[in-house]
Amino acid sequence: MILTIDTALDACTVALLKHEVVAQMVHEPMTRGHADRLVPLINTVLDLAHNPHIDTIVVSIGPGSFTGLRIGIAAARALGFAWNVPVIGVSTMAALALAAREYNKKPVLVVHDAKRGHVYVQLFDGTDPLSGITVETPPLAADMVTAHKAVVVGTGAAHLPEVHTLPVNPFPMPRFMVACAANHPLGLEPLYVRPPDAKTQMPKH
Amino acid sequence: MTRDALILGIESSCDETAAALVRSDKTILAHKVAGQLAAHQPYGGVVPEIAARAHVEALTPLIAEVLAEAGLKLDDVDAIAATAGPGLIGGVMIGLVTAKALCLAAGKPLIAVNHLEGHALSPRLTHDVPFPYLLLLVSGGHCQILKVLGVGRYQRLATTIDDAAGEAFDKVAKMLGLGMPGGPLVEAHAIHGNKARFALPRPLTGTKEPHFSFAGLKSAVARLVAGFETLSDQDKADIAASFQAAVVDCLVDRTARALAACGDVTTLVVAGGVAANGPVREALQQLADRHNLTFVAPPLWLCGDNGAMIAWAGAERFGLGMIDPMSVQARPRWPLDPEAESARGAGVKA
Repeated sequence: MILTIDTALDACTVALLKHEVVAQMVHEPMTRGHADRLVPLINTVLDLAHNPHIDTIVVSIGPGSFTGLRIGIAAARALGFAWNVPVIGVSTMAALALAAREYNKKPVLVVHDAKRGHVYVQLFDGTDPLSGITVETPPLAADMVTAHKAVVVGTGAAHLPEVHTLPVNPFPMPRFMVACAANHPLGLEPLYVRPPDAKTQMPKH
Repeated sequence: MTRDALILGIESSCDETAAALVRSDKTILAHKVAGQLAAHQPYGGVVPEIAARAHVEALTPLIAEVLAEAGLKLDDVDAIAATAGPGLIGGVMIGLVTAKALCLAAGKPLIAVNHLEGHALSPRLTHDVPFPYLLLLVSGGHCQILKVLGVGRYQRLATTIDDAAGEAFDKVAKMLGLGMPGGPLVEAHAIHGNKARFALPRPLTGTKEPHFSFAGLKSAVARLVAGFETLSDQDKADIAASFQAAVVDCLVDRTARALAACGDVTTLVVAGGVAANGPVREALQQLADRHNLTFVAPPLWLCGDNGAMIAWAGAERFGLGMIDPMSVQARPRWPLDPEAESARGAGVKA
């Protein structure tokens, strides 16, 4: 079975799949607390499936919340090491583009909330990326939609009120993560896209 | 007789990624520390986001290396201990979630360790130190005197009302343009310096208040440095030596006061990054001698943040049946003595 983990955005999703068919899945929306919920949720799906043999782990590597995607990657790496199974990274953009493909054949602009008044954007034609992942202001992203006659999916869609959005769950769903792992497998280097905030600090008790 | 427990320890609360395998009979089977000095150096201090980025990359491979070095598998481990706080929360969460995932995958119990307890119990890993003992815990983030009554049982006698001693070392290193890591570089320069050249303050020494203060000393050094148009190497060495002597005096004065107040201990222990400082160790040894106490300082490699002290604290807790649920949370602040009165000026820091 394949274990999928997604903690990159405002949800924690864990599932077990046989090929692309979901056997068990838990999905909890949350803006914080991924670190506390993730391992108990993995435990839950493993229990529900009576501790099946896992042969592959698929984890979303961003873009998304820096903390969230590190939590997912750290857990996936640890499980992969302990079980001695491969861990495949997938992009939260590509997983959404794949989901959108089921509803629509037009170009798709995946837009995820990047906070601080910005969005992560990437343009796809079907499942092929037409651009790299960039951080844009919502008006600039809206211009891209117009220019490419694209439809919009993702957690940042609400920032672009005038555009045509698809009724696609804005979080990377397990089935599409598994499909992405087959079509666009990535490593486990997080897709931060943004540079780190360089403010120094010492730990306090 | 039962078999000794084997504990994997994970540390990621500041700028060192570390893992170690320690047995409850005090054997250190393997330990590794991956420092991040070069990543933080351009900023002149620890950048939390950069630290977190480095931890997630380094940690699992480091655990694999430690197991390989000991010729063991994860299955051979009896429990996994990880720092759950206090510290930079982004890094703490990575170590803790990694430990939880390993525990889940391998069916092992989890032990959530207070980083400060890791330092506090570290002398018991290398020496035979019975409870209770008086502990001076001095590092970049902490400066406390604690009576260690037992595992998980601490009475805080003093803390800093402003900066930690190690923080002061780092800031002075920055003022003198010595670079990072500040503490060891100030010590190295002080060797060639005249500690009597500059009269610097020893805040709070001789007062009835039990606590530490280093902000005034730090400001005095800043004013001193500002008075120079250019600093020669000798000036730098003399300032480093004068500053270090002032810190040593503060630490000794406050520790002596705590010894008088706490009574029945037979051992004085120093732990934390600043415990690696030679003059600090010598002065505390002399203080212990004057009070007929045994003095214990961990070996230098065990003073800075490391995985062995977390594994050892885990071994102590595991031996007492103290394990934690998978839902345990990372804590940015986690005092060893939650009952301690807050010190003047320290606010939420202590």
